[in-house]
Amino acid sequence: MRTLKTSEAAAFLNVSANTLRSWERRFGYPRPMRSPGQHRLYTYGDITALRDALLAGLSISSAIGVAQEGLRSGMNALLGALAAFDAPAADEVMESTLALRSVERSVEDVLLPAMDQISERHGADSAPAAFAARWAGDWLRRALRLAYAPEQKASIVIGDASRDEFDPDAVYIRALELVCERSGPGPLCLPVRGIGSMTQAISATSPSAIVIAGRHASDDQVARWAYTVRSAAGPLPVALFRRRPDSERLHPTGARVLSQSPLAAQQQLIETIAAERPSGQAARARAAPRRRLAPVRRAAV
Amino acid sequence: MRPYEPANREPVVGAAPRALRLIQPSEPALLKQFCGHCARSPEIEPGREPASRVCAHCGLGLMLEASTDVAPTPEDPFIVIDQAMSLSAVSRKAEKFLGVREPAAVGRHLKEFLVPADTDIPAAQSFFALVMLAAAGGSEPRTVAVRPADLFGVRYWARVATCGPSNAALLLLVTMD
Repeated sequence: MRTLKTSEAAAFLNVSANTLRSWERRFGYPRPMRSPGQHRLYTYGDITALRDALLAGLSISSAIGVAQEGLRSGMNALLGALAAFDAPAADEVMESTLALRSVERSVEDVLLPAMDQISERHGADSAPAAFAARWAGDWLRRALRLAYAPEQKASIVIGDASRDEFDPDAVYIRALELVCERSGPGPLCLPVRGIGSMTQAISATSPSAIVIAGRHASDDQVARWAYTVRSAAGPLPVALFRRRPDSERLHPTGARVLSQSPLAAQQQLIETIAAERPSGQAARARAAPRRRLAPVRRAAV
Repeated sequence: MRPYEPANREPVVGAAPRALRLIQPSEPALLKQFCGHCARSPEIEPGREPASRVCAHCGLGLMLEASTDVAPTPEDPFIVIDQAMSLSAVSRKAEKFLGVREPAAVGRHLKEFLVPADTDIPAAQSFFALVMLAAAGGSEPRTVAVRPADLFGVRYWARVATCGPSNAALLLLVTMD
């Protein structure tokens, strides 16, 4: 997949780089990926679609609407393939999507909206939703295996609190794992049900943050898991992904509630780790000799 | 080639000399370019095409064309309606005028924002028919009274004309002072 730097994309559209950035702020489009150095990288397909739409459009907003309509057509094709229980056709849709967009954008703009739509139309416990969840889980695991993981300075532990692979949250958790695997922080995804030998897992990865993802597991179960992780790793920042963001019990903990979008959540995690790094390291250095930590409050998560 | 010379005729004795009337050849209306968001005109050298359709001043609007007598100035609030009667552009002034931001308004039907101020049915039909005709590219500029869809007692003059490309209706809003 071809990507363009900001200056290249701006030259392609015959506008200034500032104009392109102002469109991103005002209209949320075109949405760039980030390079390892946090520079914007625009998808070639997005830019060409926008250029064509601008030629015939009456305003930037309407042109962006037309360009985004093209994105939605991929989502509709995937929805049709999944509703027809046609896994090869669904694979083909994703392949054609990958020709135009990055893996992250394909997941966020096509796969996840299609999963949401299928749950909404048929119900989360329906046969189409179960088929779609299994297919999406397989696809994301395949992408995860093939993901090129650059050298990552930070890592995170994701506590998977979803029910099983048919849980709608499970697909989002796999998507967050994939996004983090590809551009950091390196994830280690563990179910919150298992807390045995956690010290080994933590010492192998030295995580910089804990993410608790999914709504199924009880608060007690999650608190026990988080306590085990923090006992092994020190006082790490905790973030919540798709875990009852409206719950009042979250407020006293200071845990950051991440965006529902895996890409946005990944950015927030990078910010959290960057903000936490100096003070967090100092705190861990202070806490290390004592080997005892204050217990995590039950109401924490 | 020799120019055409009428044959010499004998002048009629006693008849008054006939006055010649100057006939202006019909000219197409002059078009003016303006930004669909800030309404400023592009600063380009005469005879050269602008490099981009995107406004170089604000970067948030596309260059549109309208007849010089109806083209808006940066002080005029205006909206652009496409042939499906949906809002396609909302100028910066119109955003304040209508209390809505362009990204939220684009794609919504005109009647969600403006309705004819006269409540009788023929007037309503004529307003929307006029907009539709202008959006199709075939009407003279006309002025009608409109009001915000959710507000009574506030009336504007809406000057309806054609703009483009592609063909669309331009609604220039003027307060009734």
